Amino acid sequence: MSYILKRLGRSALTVFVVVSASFGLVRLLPGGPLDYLRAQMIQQGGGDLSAAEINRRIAAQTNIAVDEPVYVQYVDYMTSIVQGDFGRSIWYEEPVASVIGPAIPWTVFLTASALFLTFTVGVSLGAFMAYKEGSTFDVTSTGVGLVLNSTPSYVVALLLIAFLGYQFQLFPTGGRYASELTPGLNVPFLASVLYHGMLPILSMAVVGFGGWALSMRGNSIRVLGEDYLRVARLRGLPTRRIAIRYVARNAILPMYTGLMIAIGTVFGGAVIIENIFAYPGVGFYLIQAINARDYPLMMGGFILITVAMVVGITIADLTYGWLDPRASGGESREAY
Amino acid sequence: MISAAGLTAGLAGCGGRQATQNGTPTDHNSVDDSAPTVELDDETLALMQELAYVTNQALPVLPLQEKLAQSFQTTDDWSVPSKDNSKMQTYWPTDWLPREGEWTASGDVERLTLAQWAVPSDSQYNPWNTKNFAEPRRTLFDRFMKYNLDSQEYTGYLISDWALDGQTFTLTVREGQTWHDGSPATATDVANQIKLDIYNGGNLGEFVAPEDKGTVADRVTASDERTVELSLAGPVNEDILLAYLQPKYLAAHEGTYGEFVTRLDEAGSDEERSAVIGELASKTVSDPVGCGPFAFENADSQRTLVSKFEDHPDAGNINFPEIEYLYKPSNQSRWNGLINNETDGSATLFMPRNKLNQLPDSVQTTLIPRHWGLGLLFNHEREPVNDVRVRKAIAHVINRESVAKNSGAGTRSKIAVTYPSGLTSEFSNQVEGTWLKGVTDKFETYGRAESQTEKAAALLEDAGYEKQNGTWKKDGEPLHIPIKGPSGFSDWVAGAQTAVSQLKDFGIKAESVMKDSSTYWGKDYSNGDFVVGLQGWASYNQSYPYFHYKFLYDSHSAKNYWNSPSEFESPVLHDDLRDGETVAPADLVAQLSTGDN
Repeated sequence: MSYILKRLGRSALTVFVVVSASFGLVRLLPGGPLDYLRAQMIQQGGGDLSAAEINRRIAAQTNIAVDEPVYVQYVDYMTSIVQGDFGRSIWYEEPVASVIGPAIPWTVFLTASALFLTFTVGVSLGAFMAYKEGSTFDVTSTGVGLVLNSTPSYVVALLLIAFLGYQFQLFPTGGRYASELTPGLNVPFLASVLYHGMLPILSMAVVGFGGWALSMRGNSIRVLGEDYLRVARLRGLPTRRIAIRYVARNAILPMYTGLMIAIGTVFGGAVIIENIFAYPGVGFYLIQAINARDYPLMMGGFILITVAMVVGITIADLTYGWLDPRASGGESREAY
Repeated sequence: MISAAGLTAGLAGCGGRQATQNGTPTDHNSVDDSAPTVELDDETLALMQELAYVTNQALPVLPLQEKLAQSFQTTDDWSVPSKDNSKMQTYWPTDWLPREGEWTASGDVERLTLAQWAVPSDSQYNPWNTKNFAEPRRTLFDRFMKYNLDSQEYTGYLISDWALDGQTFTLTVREGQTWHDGSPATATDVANQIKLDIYNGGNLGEFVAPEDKGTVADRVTASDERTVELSLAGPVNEDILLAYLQPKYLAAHEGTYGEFVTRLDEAGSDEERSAVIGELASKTVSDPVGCGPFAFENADSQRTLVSKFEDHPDAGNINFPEIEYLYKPSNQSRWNGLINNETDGSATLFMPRNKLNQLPDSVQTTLIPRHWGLGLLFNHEREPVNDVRVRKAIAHVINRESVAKNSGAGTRSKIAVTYPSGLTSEFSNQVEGTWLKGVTDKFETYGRAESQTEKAAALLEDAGYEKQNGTWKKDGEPLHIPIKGPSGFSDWVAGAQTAVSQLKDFGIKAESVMKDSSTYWGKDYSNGDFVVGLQGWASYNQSYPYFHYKFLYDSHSAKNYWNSPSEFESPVLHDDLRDGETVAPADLVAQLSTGDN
């Protein structure tokens, strides 16, 4: 029990440190929200507005206490996030939660679908490669997996949008669903959501499955060489049962932590992809916030991403021992 | 009497800037589109020439190029005037052509598809909130007047008629103008629009209530259902009033903004007014009641849909039921939208040569003069450019033709300035042919298409510099010219880099320092933290020369950001206007603004 408490405490500390560091770092960005607004006004032909006029308008449009020292802003901010108040977005003039909240399901849809695809395809492929170890299929797949695994997802995204989106016009190049449809649980809407999400999901899936496949292949080969497997074969167990109950289970187990970490990236994993596909999700608003130096909105995005990651890792940590009793025993249970 | 009607080809308008900075629109908040019809008398022309001469000799800024905005229309399903037709010369085609029945569906199409910068569901239509005032505003609201570049005239639109009588300016509202909720758009609404603009710091305030905004309510009044009266504080040139009024959109719907007008009218102090303005500035209107030919339907993450408003006076000219504005947050996505026939047009968009080549034949590209362009701005309190000889040397070294060519990236959208003088309309040769007719030989060109290094060397030597080992130095220190600019404006960056390389070849230690756009505008530029900065050298919003000289000599930017002195030394062009070489250009500008000339 004390281990669990300690582990949770450490997670909370991690979140605290990351949030504090983010708070400081975003303020080191050149320019601030006021500069951004001032720039907007100057460029909108407000060049003839006096500085006082511009500052007055800016003061009227922002809710941040610009004159307060940073440490006061920090204490205020930390106090309010503990109370669940993430502040108001400077650019959107709405509570941060109302900007990010509606975007969350869309991001989760993209990243979760991509993760599901990469994991299932990767694991199946890896297992198959292990069984065919040394064959042409294995060698080719390993090569392809390595290449794809080292390709950044945005490169694939740009290629997909250029060819399948613009050149051949097979898929939409932006948006979440066709505007004519009524959102709800109806087939045309869901189909449209899937259709619009296809390229972003593919961009992430194409580069993701190789890693899982290679891990799975390695693990499976190791398991296949184990004594207990030889015993199982000698016992005359069906191949199918050996493959699933003996090999797959044991080969997947070491990948559990990786999977939980991947689940932790569910909010932050699609930042660039969402911007390439003009897909208004969490990452999309995060980039907008960074450009506009919208501190509260940026922090909201960072906190969401951090918390998800820490929760993912903590869950992996706390449950690993339960999944794999060999790893039980206090501190040594840490899975990463 | 010299008539410059037919000459000014004046227009300005929104949006010419190229890059979207950080994914936000640069093409928004169009409070511009204007250029007056001018009947110039000799004295006015002489004043303008004198200001042009002072600018040419003192170089508070070095104009490099003028811009032509590229505007796109597809012609397969749509019937639009050809690109050479003068009807295309209205800012902007997407604003006016549908209203005039000049942009019509020729095939079986239901919907005109255009683009917008902001996420549609995040867009809003309160013009006094500077954020995300999205493109559908062009069809949701009507402009006060139209400026026709062909006839060089203002024609009435929402304001169907006007008259300046002494110090009273009377506006008549078009008959049959209706808000989308069915209520009539009246003189009160127009007065409210003008009042809210003035309370927000709009330029008309300078002529209506220069001292005390408490008098606005008495000076802008609706005398009946269709008549608005502006009581002016002094004599004003009508062209200037029209230039400020013409581009306004009527957005001040009583139900949405009436409360603000009442509170502002009744406010007892500037502080009270500031508080109300602050509230107004943060009000978000996502479902607007407009008065234009299309009414707001809905907006999601991908598009805004507006539908034809049958009660609009021009509804009969429109033969398609809907316009949709798709979310296209980058130039690239807009290029592709046009290349792939996804969108039917773009009011203004910079498209480089390699992309233009990919456009299908059905897309026509119209070039629209912008009366504005890239210039080098000198900070008059920073060495070495506080010395006019250094500024002139820089002007001689820079080959503006090659700057314009590189900046235009293979398009014909940038034209090098021939006479750096603060006058626009290079594209139609009117600087030489009209504004400076008969006096051009007095003007220095500084070498439009060449590097006049000998002249530059003479100027620098006169200023105490000496060329050592290929580098110009004074007291052992090299002549250092850092040029700052916004990195997001890719065409400007290309132009600046060309200038830098020319200066370097000549032996000046020049460098280009490009900053994140919001840092540049919000910090460096507005704090005067630059030696040479990139900026448009003419008024962004108007084309009449008065506005350019006001911007160069009597604007907040000139006085505070570039630290422009109130007096310059310059030889005299017209003896009857000035005595001696010392001149206060702002005084000449003020003389232009009154109706006395």
